[in-house]
Amino acid sequence: MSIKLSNISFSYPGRSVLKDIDLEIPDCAYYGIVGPNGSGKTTLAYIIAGILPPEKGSVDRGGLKTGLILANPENQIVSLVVEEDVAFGPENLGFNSDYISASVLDALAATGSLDLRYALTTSLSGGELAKIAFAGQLAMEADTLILDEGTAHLDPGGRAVLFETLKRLNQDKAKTVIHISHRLDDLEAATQVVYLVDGQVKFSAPGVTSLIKAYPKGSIPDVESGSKLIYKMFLSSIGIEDLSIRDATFKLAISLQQKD
Amino acid sequence: MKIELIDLWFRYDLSVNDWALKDINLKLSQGEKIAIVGPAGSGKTTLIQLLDTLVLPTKGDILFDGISVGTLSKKKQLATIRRRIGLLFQFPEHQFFQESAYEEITFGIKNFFDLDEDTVESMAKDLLASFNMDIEMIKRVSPFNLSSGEKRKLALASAIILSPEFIILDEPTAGLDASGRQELIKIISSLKDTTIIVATHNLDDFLCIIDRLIGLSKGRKVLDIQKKDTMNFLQDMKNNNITPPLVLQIQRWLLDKGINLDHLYWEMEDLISYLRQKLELSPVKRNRVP
Repeated sequence: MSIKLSNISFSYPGRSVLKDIDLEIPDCAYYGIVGPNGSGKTTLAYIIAGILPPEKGSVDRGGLKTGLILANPENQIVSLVVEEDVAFGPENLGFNSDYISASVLDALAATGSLDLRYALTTSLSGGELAKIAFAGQLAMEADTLILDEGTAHLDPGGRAVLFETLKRLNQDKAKTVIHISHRLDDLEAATQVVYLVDGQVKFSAPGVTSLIKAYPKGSIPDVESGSKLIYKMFLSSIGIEDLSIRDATFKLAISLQQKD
Repeated sequence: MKIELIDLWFRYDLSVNDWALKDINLKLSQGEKIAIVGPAGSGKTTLIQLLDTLVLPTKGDILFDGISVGTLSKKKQLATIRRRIGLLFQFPEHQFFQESAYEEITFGIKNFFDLDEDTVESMAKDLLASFNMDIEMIKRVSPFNLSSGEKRKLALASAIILSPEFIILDEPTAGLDASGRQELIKIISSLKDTTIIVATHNLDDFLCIIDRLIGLSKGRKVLDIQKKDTMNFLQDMKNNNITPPLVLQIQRWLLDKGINLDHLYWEMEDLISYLRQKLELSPVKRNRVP
């Protein structure tokens, strides 16, 4: 099973946004889409999720159900209490109440947010809101989770929580993750990364490191790599890999001492 | 202008004992470049709202050039302060209300000053040129149809056109791509005499342009240091759930291992260039917005 986009094009009035996109996203993949502001990332997310029909081309979801988490998850929270919010989707799909109760609990557990079950949605932080939005999609039996940015307004702690949740859903719950971002360091967990520019796939590579390596100057035009990724790439270029940043820096210190 | 916060406490809901800011003392002088950092919910946005007199202290006081905000409020003179302070919201679309982007940028200047249309247009044109934006395009489009980077620039231009003494920016680079971010930082760093206050989660972005760092945690001021001293406060930052800039953390680790650096580096690319040089590697060309 996979999600197949064939020859997708899309325009808003007077502006062409996506041009001849062909993508195949395998089941259970962690798929990253990166590109500058205005490159068509959100439009692509909406087309994959089925919110927008493509103007040209076709989307074959292979029977997979997609769930979309918006750039600002606050915009998709509808209830005052977390549990009710997660139940809102399955209730509207007409599932029976026993099934809903069980799937709400499963979804909260899968996103590590069981402790928030009775919390007020108005009291949640940005990272927690994103987790609840994920839980809502899982309760509707989504196999594929599409995250459109979603980290821009989170603090580093909130970002870490969100990435951890995504990784767990991908690895332990076998969910396909399509993670869209303008920052390459958001996509470190991705096993395939597509670089979108002006509505076209410019490059596709197995992971962020391969993508950066494909660019001779070590920096991809108009994509924010983040200082951690830039540093890791530097370390990798001098043969220091597979270590924590701290241990890698200590190893670097040894190399520097030898030069002195 | 000088701003002084004295024993300031603030809460949104007077019926509960839940303080957004607790016992803040702070002096801000003309020309300073300050970053306010802290985890989500630490009080950054509340502090910004108080500085722009959008809300008033629950306890304590704020003095603007020695005059209490309470006095200014009673005399209905808060507008005179707001005119001198430009504010860029976290979500710029929250501050737009005009049909065209041109009306948006000229709204303040038309309302605060008695200027003829030609003068206003010429001021807007000069400013937009320095922002790399075309005035004809700005006249045609709605502010809501601009890209996120352009919205941010338009909101900043709308503030700068009033020549404020202070500019306060709430998460100005969040959601911007690399060139949008670099362009915005370049504009901010060109405002030499203006006091800049930036509330941000991305301290790495602003390290090169600030000279002072204020840290908030759970509504309290936990850090108020000059940038050059930051290296000695990395552990304090961590203790207060403030992520220290990686570029400084790396230099701290290297110094701890006995590696001497020629000076402190504020940007990762600069540090890496230096390290490559020390390791006798060939230099790497940097991609910069011209």
